[in-house]
Amino acid sequence: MQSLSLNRSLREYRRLASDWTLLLGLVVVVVFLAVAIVWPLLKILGVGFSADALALYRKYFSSPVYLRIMWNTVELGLVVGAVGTLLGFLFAYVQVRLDVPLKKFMNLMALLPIISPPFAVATAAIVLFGRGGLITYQLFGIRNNLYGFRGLVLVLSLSLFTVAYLNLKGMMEALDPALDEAATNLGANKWAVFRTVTLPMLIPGIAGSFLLLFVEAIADLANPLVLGGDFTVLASRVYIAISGEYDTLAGAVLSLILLVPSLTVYLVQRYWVSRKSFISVTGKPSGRHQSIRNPLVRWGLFAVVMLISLLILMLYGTVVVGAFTKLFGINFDFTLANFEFVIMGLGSQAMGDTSAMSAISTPIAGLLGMVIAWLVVRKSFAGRAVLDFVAMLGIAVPGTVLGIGYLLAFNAPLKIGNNVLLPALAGGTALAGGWIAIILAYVVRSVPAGLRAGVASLQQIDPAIEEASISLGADSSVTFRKITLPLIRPAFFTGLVYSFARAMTSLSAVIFLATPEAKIMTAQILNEVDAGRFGNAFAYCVILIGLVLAVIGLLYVVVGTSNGVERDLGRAR
Amino acid sequence: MSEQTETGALRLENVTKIFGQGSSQVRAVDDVSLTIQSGEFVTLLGPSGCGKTTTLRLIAGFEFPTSGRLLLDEKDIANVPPNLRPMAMVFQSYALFPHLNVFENVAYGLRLRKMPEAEIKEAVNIVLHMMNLVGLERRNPNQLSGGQQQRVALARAMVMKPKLLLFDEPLSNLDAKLRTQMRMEIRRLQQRMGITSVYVTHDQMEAMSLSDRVVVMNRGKIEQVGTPEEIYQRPATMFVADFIGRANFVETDVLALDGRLAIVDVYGQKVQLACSPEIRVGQKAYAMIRPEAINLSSRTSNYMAEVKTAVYLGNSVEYEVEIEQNLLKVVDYDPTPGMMFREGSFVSMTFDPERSYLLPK
Amino acid sequence: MRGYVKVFVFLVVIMATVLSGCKTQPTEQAKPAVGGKLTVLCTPQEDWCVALTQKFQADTGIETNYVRLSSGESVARLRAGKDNPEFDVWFGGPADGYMVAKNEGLLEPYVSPNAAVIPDALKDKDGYWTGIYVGALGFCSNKKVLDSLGLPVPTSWQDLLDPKYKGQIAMAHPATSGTAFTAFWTVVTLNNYDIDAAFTYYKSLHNNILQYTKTGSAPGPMAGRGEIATAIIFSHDCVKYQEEGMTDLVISFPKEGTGYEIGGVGIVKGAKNPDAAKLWIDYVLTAKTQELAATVKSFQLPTNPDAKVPEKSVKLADVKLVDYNFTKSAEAKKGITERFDAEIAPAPKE
Repeated sequence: MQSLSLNRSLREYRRLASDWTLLLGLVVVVVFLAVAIVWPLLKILGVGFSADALALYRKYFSSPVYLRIMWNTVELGLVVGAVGTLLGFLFAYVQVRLDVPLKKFMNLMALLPIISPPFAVATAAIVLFGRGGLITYQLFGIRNNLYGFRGLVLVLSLSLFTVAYLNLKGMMEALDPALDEAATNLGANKWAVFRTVTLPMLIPGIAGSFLLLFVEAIADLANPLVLGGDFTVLASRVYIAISGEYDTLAGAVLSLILLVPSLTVYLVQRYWVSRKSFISVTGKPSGRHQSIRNPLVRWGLFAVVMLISLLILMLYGTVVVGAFTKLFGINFDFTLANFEFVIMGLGSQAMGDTSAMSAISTPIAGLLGMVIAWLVVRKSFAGRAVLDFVAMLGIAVPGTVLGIGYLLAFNAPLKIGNNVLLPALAGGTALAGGWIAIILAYVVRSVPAGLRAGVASLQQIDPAIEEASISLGADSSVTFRKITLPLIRPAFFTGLVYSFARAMTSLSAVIFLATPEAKIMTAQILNEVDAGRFGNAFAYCVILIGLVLAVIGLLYVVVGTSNGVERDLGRAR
Repeated sequence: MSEQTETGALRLENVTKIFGQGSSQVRAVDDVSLTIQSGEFVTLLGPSGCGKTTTLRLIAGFEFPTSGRLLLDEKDIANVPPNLRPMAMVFQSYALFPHLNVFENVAYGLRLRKMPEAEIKEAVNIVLHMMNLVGLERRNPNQLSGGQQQRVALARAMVMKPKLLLFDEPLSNLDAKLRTQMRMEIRRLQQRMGITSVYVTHDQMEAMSLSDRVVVMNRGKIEQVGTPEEIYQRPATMFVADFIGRANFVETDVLALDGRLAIVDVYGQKVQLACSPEIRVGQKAYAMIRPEAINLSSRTSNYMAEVKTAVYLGNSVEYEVEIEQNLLKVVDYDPTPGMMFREGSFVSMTFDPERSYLLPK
Repeated sequence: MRGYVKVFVFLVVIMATVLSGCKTQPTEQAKPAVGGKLTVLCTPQEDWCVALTQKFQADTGIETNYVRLSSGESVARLRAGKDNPEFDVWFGGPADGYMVAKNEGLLEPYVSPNAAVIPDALKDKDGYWTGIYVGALGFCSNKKVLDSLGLPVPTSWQDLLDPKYKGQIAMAHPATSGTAFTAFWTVVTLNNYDIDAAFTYYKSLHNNILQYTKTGSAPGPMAGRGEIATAIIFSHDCVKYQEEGMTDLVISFPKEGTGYEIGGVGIVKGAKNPDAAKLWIDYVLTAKTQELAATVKSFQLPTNPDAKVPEKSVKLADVKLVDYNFTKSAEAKKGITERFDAEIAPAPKE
């Protein structure tokens, strides 16, 4: 039996091989994943399980200080997961089920974090709500300590809840209104319908959002660095270990400790919770949801969500105003000095480098995502699920962990004997000034979004359409180019937009990879924030947001559709 | 487009297709052998899950057989990728390319062959004309009716002049009237072009009306291959008898055998029935009696049955009658106006042995 | 329909534009002197790094690039890139770091002809590093916050242990920041080189610390914005923030004595562009270059006696300095930062 199935998969591969373009695609994908994900992770595992490392585990797991850090990390993940999911739920519920004004505005505010660079919210929160904050102190005289757990929860929840929002919004829209009607028809009032029908149906979505937020929260590096106070988490410890001591051993060990909960939770989310879903998002619901009429519920929810929307607007407004202000909170004189400093001075190279590296990585990531989605959905070969899983690791593995993996894997040339198999890709002396490693990291981080959007999109397209093309004489690659890609264009567009935004705003995965030749905007922003030059940081953020918006706009013009981008983004995680 | 196209003969030899592994294995196609002559129209007929679609996809190359050989004009094509097989398929969902207009849909395969633009234009126009699609060239598929879409799908396959045309339940998404109309059209085209065709359907009417030969499949195996008359009048198995049209089965003893005629006892009366070659004297067997072969009358006779249900359908009346604890289906295709039997009434029953058949138990 | 093809074309065009935009500029006004490139590891405040590298490039025609890293990070990066260094020259940051780098063989000695005028106390006797500026450590406090807490301006290390300061002090992390290490070693010196005693002090101080920043100067703006009462930073950085508009800031010094830094410059061992690196050192030791610092509001004291001392600078004569032993501090540095990182920084507050 064993040999029979082995035989069969061998034959499957031989058949794949007979379509050489398909084989080429598969080989490119496999080589990419092997180099850009598997190899760095193996490197971390290698270092993280070396003899020296075991002593470190003993040390960490017996030290109350480190146990505290681990608990902090988990606690942060749990609370941000809960708060962010609640926020996402409220926004989605108002959007789908309430008939209230300004829904477009609230939707926009919920989507804003996608294109926001790290630090924007944290920094704005400090100047607005910190101890010397414009609102807390100068308006109300409260010395509010934002540093630490509370501040992190606030900032992380506001930055991450978009995931939950898109997830739950998609689900709520797909809920069949007939179910509500049936329940009402059987005598349930609105509250009972919500409690007994709506909520139970959404539980997989809620659980999934919670778990995704957990993973993102514990992986976040930017906010704990700026706002951590005495609340230390694993990600920032990893960062200090590398940047302060260049202690790759400690970095790898802490990374592995961080990797365990994130990967576990991610797997639970992906392979368990998502299977429990009652709702097929693909189905078009019939009928229309009746909106909630109870004025208390309606306007109460509206007020809450509107307030949070205004808070988000205020935070980003502060970023913009702060960029044109001498010293936000102290001296509000208008100035262009921040922009001058950033654009003419230290920022010009970072802007150029980051935009160029993002621009290079975007089409690669977009295309890879679509090709992998296509292979996974349409082609049958052993190892399909593995391919999908490995590609998704790009998002499941925390950025800092990936960054350390890259450091370990690519800082020195890969040699067998005296032959250089792969030259150094990361670091100042690497090939192409370290650009390759950063671009790889950008691609790895962006592929999952395009992949999920592509998979969702492909599953809605009748496979017969592609078979028709094949039956008319087209091989796999022609079919992919002429039929599949045009049909999944919205997903492809989503993948591109997301890739570019993600690359431009990513920090944790690439912060260790920046070199004199490859400067990264977000790392520069970190420097400015850390050094307290908020004006410059704000100017940077404004430029970054502007660049991302401009490219999205251009992509829109060129690819020409934004249909379903939101929906696809929701699925993208 | 020339009227006579080069067309192919297809042979399946012991083809088996197994899906899944280990305990979840499914034998979708089980040791199927079949020969299709050049120019022949053959239908694979059976209930859903019988393996007919898988067989078609094996022929098309979208699936590869686990074992067995597939020969097109005596050349083994089992490992030829689908795009290189000289076949064209018409899909159940039509599978028109939604982003291409009608002309481009039809021209798609020709463009892949790098045919000169002028020739493409000519070939496409001929086919569009043939399919009554002139004037719709610039429409997108979503602007067409179901029937039009179906004709575009057909045109797209025909224009390729394939050696083999494959149809995967192409009419199942159409409404009843259109279905009948398209059925005729397909038959007319196939006869005219003479392209060897394999057609998959679960609709016996379609199978009967279109085919030179019908292949009835069940659980991955072929139950019977034959002309429409053969499979209706001389079904090889009870499954075929039941699947093709409707049938009553009456258990009986085989009293005597004379070649392919048997004497059997049906409800106490000895009758002579044509029989399957497996019938042996002294065995139990089933007399298959078609509902339309049964005649009811108000006279009194030895065969009295009670009318259990009576349904008036306009051109016919359907009854269920009970005789010796057996329920029999009866159709009267020529009901006398006002002379319908009431439920609960007793009627005399006769049947036509000529239109019945004896099957082994 | 062929939109996606256009996307690639478009992205390639953008890419090309961006690439050409940022790569071709600098080569234009090349002057032949030394030529080539120079990569500077720059530790002072970023605006100084920008001003200096731009000026150097304009004056010499050498394409000059920099990465700003704090002192501790700099040593870590140099160590990591030992076999194949990515930097040519290291500029700025306390001499302790340079001593560590020297001891680990990460620096190349070079005695610049321009170093002759620099006092011996402000340069390495073996020429591994040369002092470019001097500055004293101080307390940088927000007067308003102090007032609201009912605290006087702190004038001793002990003042900072007052429980009223809870969560009101910030300093950098000694592992990344030379400033913070200077602060630590100052306390060590005040305790007659008893490192354990210094740890005891910082353990108590930990209860009052809001956050350990990455960069040494970072606590300054926190105080300036009123987020904390007192920042332990170099006094010249505090002057800088005052000058930039944070008018609530006041500078004070501990009466027990305070530490100071000699900002160094040195050539990285195995530098790819040694000639340009030497030229850089010659350049930054001149009086004219050192006077550039004040234009970007960096008020360290220049080491070149011919350089004009900015009016705003804190004069060392006005401050009681400890006898800061850079050799000893360098030897103890790694042990201290690791211990600090393990025992103090992540510990919960009492």
